[in-house]
Amino acid sequence: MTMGRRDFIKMCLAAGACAALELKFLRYVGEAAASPEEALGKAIRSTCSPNCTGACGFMAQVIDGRITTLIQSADYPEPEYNPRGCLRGLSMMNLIYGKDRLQYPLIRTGERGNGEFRKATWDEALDYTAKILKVIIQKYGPEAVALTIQVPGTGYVHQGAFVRLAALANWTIHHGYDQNGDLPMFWPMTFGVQTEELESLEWPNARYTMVFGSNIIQTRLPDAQHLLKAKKNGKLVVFDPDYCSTSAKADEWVSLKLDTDVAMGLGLAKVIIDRNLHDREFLRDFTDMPVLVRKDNGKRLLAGEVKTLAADAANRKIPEYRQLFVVHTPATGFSILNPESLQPTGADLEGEYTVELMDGSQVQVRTVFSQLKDVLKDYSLDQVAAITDVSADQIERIAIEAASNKPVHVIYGASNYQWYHGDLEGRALSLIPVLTGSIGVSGGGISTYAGQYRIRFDLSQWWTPKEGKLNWVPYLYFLQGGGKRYPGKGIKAMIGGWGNPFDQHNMANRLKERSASGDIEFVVTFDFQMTTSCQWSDGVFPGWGEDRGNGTLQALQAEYVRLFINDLPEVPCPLTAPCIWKGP
Amino acid sequence: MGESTVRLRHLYVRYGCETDEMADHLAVELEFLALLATMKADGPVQEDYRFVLDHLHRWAPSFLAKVEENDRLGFYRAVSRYAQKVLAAGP
Repeated sequence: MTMGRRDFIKMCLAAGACAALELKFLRYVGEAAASPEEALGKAIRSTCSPNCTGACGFMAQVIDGRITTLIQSADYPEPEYNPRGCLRGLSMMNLIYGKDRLQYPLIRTGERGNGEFRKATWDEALDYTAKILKVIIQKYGPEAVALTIQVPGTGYVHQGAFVRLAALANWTIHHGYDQNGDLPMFWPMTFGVQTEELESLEWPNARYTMVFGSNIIQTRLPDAQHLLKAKKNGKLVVFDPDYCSTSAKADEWVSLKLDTDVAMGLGLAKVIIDRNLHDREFLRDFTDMPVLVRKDNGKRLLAGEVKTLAADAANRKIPEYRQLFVVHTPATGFSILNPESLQPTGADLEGEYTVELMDGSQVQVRTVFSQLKDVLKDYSLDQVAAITDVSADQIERIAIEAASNKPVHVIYGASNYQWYHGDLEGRALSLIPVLTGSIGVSGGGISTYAGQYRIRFDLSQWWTPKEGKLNWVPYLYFLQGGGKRYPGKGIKAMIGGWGNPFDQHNMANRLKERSASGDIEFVVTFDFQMTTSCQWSDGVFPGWGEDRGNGTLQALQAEYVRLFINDLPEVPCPLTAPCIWKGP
Repeated sequence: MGESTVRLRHLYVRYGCETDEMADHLAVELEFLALLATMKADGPVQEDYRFVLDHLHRWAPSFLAKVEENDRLGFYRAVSRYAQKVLAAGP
């Protein structure tokens, strides 16, 4: 029998005819496979967004509900940001289809933490969880149930759903940033903001880039190219005890002693001031350097305290969050600094004065800048060289180079500020761009690349509905078992997801102890793979991977908000489990 | 999957066929070749036959030679030689 392709398909369509062909490897499916596009699956745009904040666009080819290929989508509007996506992102396939991927709900059968579970249906596991939570809430109140939420910026919708649940149920909530100190404290202390950073497209505009404890070449791989471009326009100096990948790419590697970055920052600042390389005009008009500080109590002098200014101060209308500080000008003496104006003040940058207060007493005051110079007295080149193990000549040369090659960009790594006194380091390092006037100019500033989730639309409707209430308790209070807003009857149940506090928190042992002793009575974790926290849980639910979820995320380094609400339902449910996040 | 593998997969679909194996698995390609061989050698079928055969010629001979070289049981050597004959015979 001979026939053409159409005849063949027609013949096979007749009932049972294809069985006669005895195909071993090929399978006749006829019309179902008729379109080649379908056989090749769908190409779905997704974003790889674990917390590296690179937010790389990927096209995922999905065949038979399974991701077969990932390629960089390279579709960011700025060509400089394309292509982006690294081998680590591609390796997500190993987690999505790896042995630790959770495929169905689990209920604990063995001792806590030993990882013995039995398979459960969704209905069974949800009923089990709800039943125990009800008992706990009845016994200890709703605040005894605590939600741990880690990096909701990587999934405003699906992680936000947990926040909404906690709000509506009046649970306690801990933010993951409390655990790891993701928000550098020096920012609110100095600049009065949560965080600031240059997007990587700005890096090449710096003429002098100083990296402190940030291994960009490894940890910000898709943007590392911009740091290398910065070397064409200026100099890259890396301060790091390790000869890490970023040190290796530097024009100059400063191998300072561990934990001595603060002294280095202050030493550099002192050289810049001593050699008169600081930008006096910028400091006078755009910083608090001319503001007067009382020597008796170390606080900034308020206009309301000063005999000659109090009446004027009382008449000024200022927003509630502002205060009236005092500067000294050659022309008018003590005067009120208008907090609502950025006009030049002509104030003295340096000076020490005696001022009469309302009660007739007199106090000594001096400018912030004078006080700074006083602090820096302890950081002479020789002293800093001794502390940091870096030669005085090298420190001096770098300070002079930086001040003569503006704008300066300082990158301050999270390895430093997430530890005690990390705030001191940020304050010391921010002096360098501030003293050189490298703030508010293209390529200049200080950047921290963690905790920079700055949401640009109002989440409150979704996260905290009117009828809800969230009891925010810092994680440390939870682990210490006391503190502001810590529930009277303690925290007895933990609900969490997309974070691994039983492993990655520096007090993870405390969590394990309290779970093992039964003090924490119930632990439920949502995750896409079996983490240590899942192993310590009583109930485990399979959820989306952080980077494959339905929702929105902020592509931080690139400053885009990416929406991927509808493009994913087909992708990550190749397994047997129904998925709670399947489609909005 | 490489371009030629995708093309093969594409081709199977045009004949209403799917496979759980890789599209360029030797057994799959040979089975498809056998399927085409049962059909009337009109223009398009002949073209497809040529394409699969050419594809096999590009890599199968060296693969089969390696099978022959490494076989210790004798069976695969025999099968491999037979396959080489089939490929050498052409259309």
